[in-house]
This record gives sequence, C-alpha cells and structure tokens, in this order.
Amino acid sequence: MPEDQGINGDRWTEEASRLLRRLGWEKIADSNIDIEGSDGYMHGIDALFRYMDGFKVSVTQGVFLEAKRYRTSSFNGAKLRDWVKRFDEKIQELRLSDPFHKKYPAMQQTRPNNGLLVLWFHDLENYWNFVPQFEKALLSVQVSIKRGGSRLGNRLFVLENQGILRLASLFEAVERWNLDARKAEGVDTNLKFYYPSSFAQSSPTQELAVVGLEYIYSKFILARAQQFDGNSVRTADIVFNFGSLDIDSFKRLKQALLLSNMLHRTNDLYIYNYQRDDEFRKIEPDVKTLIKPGATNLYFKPMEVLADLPSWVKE
Amino acid sequence: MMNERYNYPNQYEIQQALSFCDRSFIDAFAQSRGIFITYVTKEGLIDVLSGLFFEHSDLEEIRNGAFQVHAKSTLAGFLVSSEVDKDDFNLIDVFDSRRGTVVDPKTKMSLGPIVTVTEDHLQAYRGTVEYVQWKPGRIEFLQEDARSFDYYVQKTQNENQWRILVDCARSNDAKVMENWMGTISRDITVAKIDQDSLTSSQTVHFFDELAVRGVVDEWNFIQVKRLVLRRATTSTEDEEEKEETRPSVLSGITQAILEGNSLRNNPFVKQCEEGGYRFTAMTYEYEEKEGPNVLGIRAEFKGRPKVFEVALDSFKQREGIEEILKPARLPNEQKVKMLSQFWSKAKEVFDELIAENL
Repeated sequence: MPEDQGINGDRWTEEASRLLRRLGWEKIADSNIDIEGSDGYMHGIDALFRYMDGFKVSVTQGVFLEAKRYRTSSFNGAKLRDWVKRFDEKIQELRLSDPFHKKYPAMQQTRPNNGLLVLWFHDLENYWNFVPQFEKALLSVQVSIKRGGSRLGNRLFVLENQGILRLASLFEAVERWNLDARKAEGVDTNLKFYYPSSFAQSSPTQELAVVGLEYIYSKFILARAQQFDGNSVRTADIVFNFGSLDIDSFKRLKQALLLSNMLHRTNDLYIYNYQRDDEFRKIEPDVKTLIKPGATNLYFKPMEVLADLPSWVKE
Repeated sequence: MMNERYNYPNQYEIQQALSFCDRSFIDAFAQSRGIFITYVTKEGLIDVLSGLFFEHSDLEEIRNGAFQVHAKSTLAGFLVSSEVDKDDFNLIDVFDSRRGTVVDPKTKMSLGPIVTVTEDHLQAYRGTVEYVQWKPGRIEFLQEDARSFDYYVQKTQNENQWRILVDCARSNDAKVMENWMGTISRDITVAKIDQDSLTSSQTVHFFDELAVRGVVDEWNFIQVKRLVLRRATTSTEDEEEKEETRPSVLSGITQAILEGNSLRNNPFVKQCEEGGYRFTAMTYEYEEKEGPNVLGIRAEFKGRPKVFEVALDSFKQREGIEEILKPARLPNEQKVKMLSQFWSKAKEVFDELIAENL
C-alpha cells in the first residue's frame, strides 16, 4: 500500500499527536474514530484537537487532524487535490453533526472549522528531489470560492516534512532554553509564546504556552521568558527566526520587533536562527548593531536542523 | 527615512496590499505555503494571510503582486515640432509658465509643476495634468470625475523637436493632452503614430518590424503572446474585434519574425487580410540576455481615430532551478524609460513606412 495504513499509519497519528500536544494543543478524542456526519454517513478522523488562540482572546480553535505517511514516489497532485476536497467535505459534515457535538462536547466551545493534514514522506533519501513536485502539487489544488449561499468555509492546512521538522526544532530549542535555565537557576523559566496586540486586531496581548496555526505558518515566532538573577527577575525576549539571514531580512525583522514591543534596552534578546548561512558569521556584528546598537545583551543562537523526527516525537 | 523601505507593515497595511493583488495571486501565495481556505471571499482569505508573520522576501512578493495590477497604464506619444527658425520656442517653458492655471476651460485641464528627471545623459521632464471628465449619471445629475495623469517630455535628436509621452491611466487622458496642444501655438505641429496613415499591409509590416526593433540592448525577442484584429463592419461604424491567442497561430507568427520572413507571407496573416481584418494590437515577450527577467509589452492602436499606445503587459522573473516565472516589480521610472524607447522606435518604423508613400 502506498499509504501506510494499519500499524505504521496509526503510529504516525500518535507521533503527530505527540508533536501537536507539545505545541500546547489539547487532544479531545482517542485516535482513529468514526463519527456520524450530518449527512448520515460515518466519517473517520485521525484525531481531534483544540487550542487557545493567542491572537484572539477567549477564542478556542477546534482542529480536525488527518495524519498521512507516504512514499514520495506514490504521491501526485491528484491525490493532494482529492485529500483536500474530501477533508473539506468531512469537516463540513462533522461540524454540523449533532452526534458529533454530543460525543465531543469539548468541541462545542471551539471554532471547529480547522483541518490540519500532517503529511510525512518517510523515504527521506528521495525527499529533497521531490520538493519541487510537491510545490507544484500545492499550486494545482483548485479551492472552491464563495459565491453566495450558506456553505461555510473551512481553513485547511497542509504540513509536511519541512514544516514538521521546523516545529520539532522549535521545541528542541525551547527544551534547551529550559535546561539551561534549570541548570543556572534551578527553576523553570516559564517560556511562553508571545502574541502582541499590535498584530492581533482588537485583541489584547497574550502570553501562552501554545503555538497556534498562524505561528506554525509564520517566518518568526515570538516568545518571552523570565530570568532569575539572584533576587531580581528579568524578562528575556526570544525570537525563533525561520527566515533568511541576510541583512535585508534582519532590517525587516528589527522593524517587526519594534512594532511588537520586543526591543527593550534592559531585556536580554535571544534570536534563534533556523536557517544555515555561511555568510551570517561575517555580518553578525553588523546585524547586532542594527538591531540593538551599542547593546551587549543581544545573543544569536542556532536552532537544530533535524534530518528526521526526534526521539521525543517517535517515542 | 532610512528604514522606510524595511518598515514592517501592520495587519491593516498587509490587508490593503493584498487587496490590490489578483485573486489568483493570493490563492497561489496561500497555497504555496500549504494554506487552503475553502468557500471564502477574497477578503476572507486576506484576513487569514494577514495574520501571519512574514519575512522580507514574502513582503516583497506581496508588493510585487500589488504593483503588477497597478502597472497597467499605457503610454501614448506625440512628437511636437516647432518651425525650424523658431529657435526661441521651448516646449518646457510652455508647460512651466502655465503651471497652476486652467488651460482648457472645457475639461478644466490644469497643469502641475514640471520637474526634471535625469534619463542617462538626456534630460527629461515630468509633469502632471488634472482634468475633469463629465459623465451623465443615471439620475440626471452630471457626475463629475476628477482625473489626473503624468506626462514625460524629452527633446529628441532632431532640431526643435520634443517627444511627449502621456502615462494614461484612462483612455481619454492622451486625447485631453492632444487637444490642448493643438491650441498652444500656430507654429507647432503635433505628430502621432496613427493607423489611418498606414495601409493594411503596412500595418502588418509595422508590427513585424516592431517586434525586434522595439526592444534592443539587453533583451531578446522570444514570442508574440497575443494578437488583436479588427475589421469595419459594413452596416455601421462599429468594428468587429477578434483576439488571437491560439499557440498554433502565434507560434507561426513568432517563427516568421525570428527568421526574418515577412509576416505578410504567413498563411494566417494572409487569411486575415483577405477577410478584411487589420492588426490593431500585438503583445510581445522579451527575455533579458543576462538576467532572470521576462518582459511583456503590448503595442496597440486604440481609440478613434486609432492612436498608437504602448503598455507594460507583464513583468516576471525566473526563479529557482525549475525557472518558474514569478511576478516581479519594475520600478515606474524604468517602466517609463523602456516604454518611451519602444514608442520612439515605433515612431521610427512608422516614419519609414510613411516615407514609402511619398
């Protein structure tokens, strides 16, 4: 079978679920369930999640999870188009289904119109050659457009190897931060993800131990942590930067940090860079001066670029 | 000031920028990132996208998408010549001295300040015109539509001759300028490239020559992308218009141009001529000799009488190993420069053809 169903498929659902729980998402149902939709048919879902939306205070997003494990040679654009179409229909049926809401009351308070397709291409040796083909496939999907009528829209997100490994790397970095802090202070530093109000229209600033869908698809993720210094507490501003490491990109990043209140004279600023760029070492002093002129409390750290899922996901 | 180019836009600004982009651009922008929002309006999609944090290249991509739509203006040209012995005639003075005044009461046409823009070694000037277009409204009120456009003036190599190019956002813009210029002085003549001065077969020759002569220097002609033909119908003054985009037809025409064979010998062209059709527009595509850019220019006879205009049809760049074409932004000044040169070349070809008739 091109798609791993059965043991491998189930295991991948568990692994994906583990990753999402690390993002601060709450798993609602046991994996691999079948529920009756509003059309009277049974629909299978791999898992159900919900999380607090950092950009919209008092909103909880409900997410349907589809976890697929595939071989690159078995994949094509037609499959992706089909998955997106079916996933959309499935969510449409379930979110309007009475049996669904009765069985999973936790979803009732959520906006249950999100679908996350977590796609893992397991033949990693072929993956990089395969990427252009995958990008073409993404563009080939024809999404239905609203033309009046009451058909509700869904938000569908596809996350594959690169996106998955970026998230895994994010939490490797968070873990290392916590470990370093524990070593130094003996306490957790409460690293929370930072959702500035300047970017969240009409919603106040929040700090949550949650990475939501917007952050998953962003080029940088903001966070804050408390640092203990003897008797005093300092705030550390932290940026997980998945963007390019050229000077133009840092100029933009600096403006974004200013806009989101992430540049304080006295706070330590940690920028974790995900991308690898040999030229960065050369421009690093200039970038430091650009972002925090004259400051000594700006630190660049590399994020781990993982080639495969880390053990805490596979475990 | 230094940071303006690298300002990080707030959510509202990103929404505004995305709203200028085509739906197809926004769909591609979202989908290439793995985001599929179903049954949503353009605004709904923009709402989701504007909630993401972008890096510099993403923001440039959005800007390019927005500018692609904005770059649709056309350039219409005139050559203004004064009598050879009128050495004191200076067209720039004509514009400059009337700055801030209404020069045509009928259209309320007024001139803004004229400023210099350096164009390599030749000095050029840019000015603005404002005027009012009266439109009969549905409710018996006359709807007043305030319009404005930029124009560029440059002295040509010939004595006492100036080239004016009107950056037309609306099709009437060039006419407003032309009508006014006819009233400036008895001692000047205004020349255009107008189709009525050419025979049908000369028109074919015109478009044929323009393909390779219009854009030179760092560009190579690749292909004809679109063709528009018109013929007068027998009954009224109306015209029947035909757009030709079939690759089978266009590739034949492209081939003829690349091989230097006269387009008049092309079977499709012959067929059109026999049917009474005239070429009125052609869209050419050029690629940079040493660079990733691909340029589309539309050359068209528009209006009544048919006046020649040039426009930027598209500007893209090849990206990545697969050389996928993505929208790119051509700064306005460069756009105007390219189109001015194209228009000038077109005038040369036109003049050569007119000379044949004498």
